[in-house]
Amino acid sequence: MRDPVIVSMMLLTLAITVAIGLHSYWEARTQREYFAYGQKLGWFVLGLATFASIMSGFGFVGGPGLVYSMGSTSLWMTFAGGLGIPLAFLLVGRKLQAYASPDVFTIPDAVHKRFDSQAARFAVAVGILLGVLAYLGAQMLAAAVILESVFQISYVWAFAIALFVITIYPLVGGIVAGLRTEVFQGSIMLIASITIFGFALSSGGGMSEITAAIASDEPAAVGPWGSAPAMLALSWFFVFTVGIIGMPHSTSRFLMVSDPRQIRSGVLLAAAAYMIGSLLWMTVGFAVRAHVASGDLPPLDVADQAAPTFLAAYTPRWLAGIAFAGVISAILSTASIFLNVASATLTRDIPLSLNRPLAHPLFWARTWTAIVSLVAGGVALVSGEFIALLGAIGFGLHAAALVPTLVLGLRWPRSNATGVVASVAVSIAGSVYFFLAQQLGLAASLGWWVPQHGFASVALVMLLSFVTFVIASLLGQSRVKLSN
Amino acid sequence: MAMTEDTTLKDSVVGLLFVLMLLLLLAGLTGAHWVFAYALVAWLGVLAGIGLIRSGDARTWLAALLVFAFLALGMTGVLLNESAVVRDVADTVLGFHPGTASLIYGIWLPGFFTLGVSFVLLFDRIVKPGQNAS
Repeated sequence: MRDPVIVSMMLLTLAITVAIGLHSYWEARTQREYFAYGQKLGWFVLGLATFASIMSGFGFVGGPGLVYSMGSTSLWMTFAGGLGIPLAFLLVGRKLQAYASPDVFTIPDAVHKRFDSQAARFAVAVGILLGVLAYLGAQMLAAAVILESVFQISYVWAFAIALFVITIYPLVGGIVAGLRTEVFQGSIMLIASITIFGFALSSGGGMSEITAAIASDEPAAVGPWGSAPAMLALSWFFVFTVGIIGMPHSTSRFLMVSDPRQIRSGVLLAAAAYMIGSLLWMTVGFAVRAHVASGDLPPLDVADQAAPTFLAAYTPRWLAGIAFAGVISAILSTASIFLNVASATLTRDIPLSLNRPLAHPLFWARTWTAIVSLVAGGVALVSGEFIALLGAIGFGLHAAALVPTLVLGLRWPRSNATGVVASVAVSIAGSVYFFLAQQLGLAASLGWWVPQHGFASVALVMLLSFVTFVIASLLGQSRVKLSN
Repeated sequence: MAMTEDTTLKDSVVGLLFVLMLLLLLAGLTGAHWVFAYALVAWLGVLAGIGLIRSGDARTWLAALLVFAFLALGMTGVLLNESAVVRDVADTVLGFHPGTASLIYGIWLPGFFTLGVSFVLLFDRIVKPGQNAS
């Protein structure tokens, strides 16, 4: 049965998002504006939008589900942001901003400027594009599931609405629309996180009571590693602390910043907002687990039902409405920016790396946005679960493909295009291998090798990419002079 | 004025990172989680140092050391308490299992405050006036 409060808040969120997006059309008149906000980004938009795009819908639904099923293990994943976001601003923010110019406003642009290599630009662009395509369909599926549940309409209609909203405003207003709507969406996410955190704590009688209730059922769940092996928690911490640096939809913003001082002010807002989102991730999962342990709630059939179950049982309807608006906001913000990044790659980075710049870039920018959205949506609709599985490798692929180049490549004089191309190739090959072995089950059916002891395959691929970057750079061309 | 900084990475620092990466690989593949944990702390400490430290400026060294020290202490707290058992509320530390409390109050919150706030406070020291990269 439809809940009028939740439906109203959801409709209002979608309408405001589309309105802000469409209004941005007037400020997305050049390629630099469409893809890089005219390189006049300030600290407030930088901070809040970075939080909104990193904290995807997974943070609101999948995160509490992981805490429900594994206990503390996934805390290492979300707590990584408290360190990873400042690290990204510190290591890459100032460095990329120094490369920004009217001709340099995408990550592949900066890589080209650093190495003077179209091959390096091409490799990085392909790494970005593949990761985006892997992730985008999963975001669309998630949006459709939420809309289907809230509006009580058929899945196909829900998918059509999700596809329309996700596509229309980044298509019309480019990154200007994406960033402005992210400020709105990030604000909703923050309000939802703070209020739900309070309700979660009070519903369980405080954190100590919640911990003790879970411990009486499964002691390991409240321990520092949770129910999983310690190595899984630690390798997640490694991946998500350093991997945030390689997220193109957030890192590319450093090329849009008007002045490096904006980075200084933006870092605290982005990291603090993300940490508040982590509170929701942690407390909702723990609270539901404690209520199940004490018999207040029946065990959940699906762990991802932890957040919706909590909202239904322990919060007033207005708060559930804000929470669902927060979830859809998180999904929309990530998906729309991904679309813009994919469009930039196809309109600018790949054609330039092939020495074939497009004649009407703004026309192609909007055309590619529509094409990528329709293709990703079509594949997601047809393949369903497959695209959801594919989405799992998106983060890892970006992290492995981009972090070595951004952290070492921009600073180490011996790094070169050979290292960039080799590390991206290893990242793509490793991600595909482990997708086939783990997500598609070839490790179980054909005995393909996978790491043991809980060591996350994405951590392995990231480390191999780093090692490859260093070795290939040393084997490649001679020392390159860094001008600064 | 455009701003940039003297952040060229020395071979010795890349070499240190490379050795730590090999150690992380080895520890990950063999399941030696104590080794992995401390190698990770060292690796993150080096990255923080790369971002923060400027030669001849003691305050930037102090900030990087602070980040590393809190990470090392927090991780030690996690590892030393990994086998602790919570039987009732009295066994919790500030709401959590002692090991999980070390993660929250020893790694998560100090990580943000030492690294994020150091970056803000030392910004003018670690970003020097100069020319853009080219």
